[in-house]
Amino acid sequence: VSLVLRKVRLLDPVRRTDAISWLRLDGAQNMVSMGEGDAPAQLSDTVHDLTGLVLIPGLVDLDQVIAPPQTAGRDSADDVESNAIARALRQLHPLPQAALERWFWESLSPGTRGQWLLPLGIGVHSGLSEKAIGWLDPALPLAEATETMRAARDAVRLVVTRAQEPALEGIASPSPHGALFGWPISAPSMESARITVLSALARQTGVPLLFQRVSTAAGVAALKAARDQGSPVFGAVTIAHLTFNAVDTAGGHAAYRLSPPLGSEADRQALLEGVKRGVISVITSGHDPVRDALKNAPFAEAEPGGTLVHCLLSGLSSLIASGELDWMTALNAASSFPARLLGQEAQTNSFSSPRPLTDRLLIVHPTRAFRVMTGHVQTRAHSSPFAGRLATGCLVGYVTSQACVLPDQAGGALR
Amino acid sequence: MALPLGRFLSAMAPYPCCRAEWAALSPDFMSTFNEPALRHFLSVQDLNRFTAEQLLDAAAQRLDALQARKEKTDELKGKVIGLVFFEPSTRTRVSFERAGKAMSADVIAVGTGGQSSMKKGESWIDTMANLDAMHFDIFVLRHDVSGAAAFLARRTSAAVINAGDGTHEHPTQAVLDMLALRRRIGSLEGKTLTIVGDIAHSRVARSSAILGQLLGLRIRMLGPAHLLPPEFADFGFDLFTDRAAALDGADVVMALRIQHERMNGALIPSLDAYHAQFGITHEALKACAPEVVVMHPGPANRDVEISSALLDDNERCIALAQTEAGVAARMACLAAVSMARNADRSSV
Repeated sequence: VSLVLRKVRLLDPVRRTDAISWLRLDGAQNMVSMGEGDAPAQLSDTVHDLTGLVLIPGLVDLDQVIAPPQTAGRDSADDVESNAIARALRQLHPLPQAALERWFWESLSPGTRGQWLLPLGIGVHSGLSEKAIGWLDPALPLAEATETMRAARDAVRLVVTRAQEPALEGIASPSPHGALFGWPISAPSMESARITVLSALARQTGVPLLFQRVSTAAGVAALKAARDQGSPVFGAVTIAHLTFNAVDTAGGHAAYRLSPPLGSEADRQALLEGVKRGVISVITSGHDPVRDALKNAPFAEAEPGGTLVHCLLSGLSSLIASGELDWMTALNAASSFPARLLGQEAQTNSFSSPRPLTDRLLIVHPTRAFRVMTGHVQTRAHSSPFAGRLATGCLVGYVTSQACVLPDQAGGALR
Repeated sequence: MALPLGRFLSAMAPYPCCRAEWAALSPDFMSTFNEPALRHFLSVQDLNRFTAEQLLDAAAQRLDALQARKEKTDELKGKVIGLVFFEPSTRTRVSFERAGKAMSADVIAVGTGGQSSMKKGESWIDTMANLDAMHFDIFVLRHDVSGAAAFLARRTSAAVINAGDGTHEHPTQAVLDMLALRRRIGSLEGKTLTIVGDIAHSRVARSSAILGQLLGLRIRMLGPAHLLPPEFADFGFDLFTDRAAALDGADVVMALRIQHERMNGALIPSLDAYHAQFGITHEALKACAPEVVVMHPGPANRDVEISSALLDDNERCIALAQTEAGVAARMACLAAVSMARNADRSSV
């Protein structure tokens, strides 16, 4: 029996189409045909009318911090994978921490300089085996980073690193609130210095570089300057840094203690502008869970980080509902462009048919509000700046090659 | 998404301050001293001009009573006050104990050093949770982490008075400073206060500057550039690194202690050099207004931030008057939080 989804607003960031469309899936849930307008009627079809709903490709999250299995209070790769299924995130590419068991990661990228360049765990979930994604430890001295990048030239398709110079990062961004509390303040050059230096290195070596967690206007400016000069560099921002600013930290709540610290409203506006203009190419969740005991402390004493994996879609849809982003830009940054960076655009992020449905399609109610909770996320930590907030835009169904959960079956919302 | 507070405030009126968690004043709960009702006293930003004046007026009456040795009242009879000091203190701890006992409260100084379970590895959060289970009415908390008092206030049914949290605030010190100053020079409106020293690490500077500004003082801050956060300019304070310029015409000078314990590393290479450049002396005061008043919250490092001769000059320096005002100011603060607590219970 074929399944027909009709009258759905289909958003395809690859073809940049946004139209009321229909989609036909066969019994094995392969996409067999599609088109704009209403679906051609066939008596044997099971038809679902999705009027008012939005159909989008699954999201690709390039920034989740995980720990080796059994690390107390930290999420493991298994947790992340479970969340991927529960949250209908299509792919997850967790970053290791330095303490990860080396054999696990090195086995994923034979031939790379495992000594310094820890490979990203991309092979686990995606099956990508041609070239590894490298992780450049921000604590590496410049000389070793240079050697690492040179070594990576032939073995790695993308190197990922943090945008902040660790020595210059404080626990708060420059703001009256930070000054009032006497918190250590991040130096304004925390991002611009690192992005400028490493971008020059990327240009010299030709290795594409993705800067995670860009958080300041200075960082966006440095990234733009580097890209204008021809450096193969890309920026990523977390959904938390697009949503909150330093004033949210004024109450001293540990949930807002993130790394890097939340910037000013001017920083947040610069980040949004960077996303719209393509200077920042990727939006991530920045999922960096910290166990509750370490968050149960005043702001200055709490560990930085937060449970954010469940907030990527709701955060994006909320920004869209408030008019600060549009669907096409958001989906490009959270789905199609990250897939391109990973070299997977051929398999994913396209609604072209006929083809097997190897990824997920998400059905979103764009205006339904719900309260963000961490209770249904598989994690060992529940502190999140989004916790308890009202979000606009709700996941109400999804379709994969194995399962199909539609809005009427979901009984309202999956969140 | 409901608009996050930060974005809302950024859109409306960014800085400096936005906290005014004031209980509505009710004549039913006004004591003879007329303190305002405060649920907690965590920051001078809990005050507005009216309530700050009200608190100071009540403290002034208590100071009169104290000087006449008629300070004893039954206002807090049956209340239990816990003095929980995770940092060393003499003036603040003793004056709170003196104030509480003058108001007939049961005051328990909770040891957090050798005799407490923290020695056994218990976190201070767990220590406070256990103390909370013993039904204290008011906690007076000093802690070395900024925001510790506000954190505790969210987790206890008792009222919390911040007796100094890290580099954040010391609001009762600001109340006593302004009380002592007002008693000495009268109205503060339009006068200039120059705060000198390690501004970056001083919670006294933050509280006194913000409360002083609220009461009409013009605030100048003087210190080495690396100990003078530029963000304080956003509060409307004038920042100086040159002593002569900062003291020019000043009506009040407040010398701050060099905070060795809060400095991570040697931020002052030479105490002698610091004294030569930023120390307050009789000679340096010649640039000020003729009747300049010198304040020091104590403890003082003689001949570092203030000359020994000036500290002992009681005509010019009101350091001991500040200490005396401390008892009255803390009585007023204890009464204010107790009143709000009574109001809360009556409304249930």
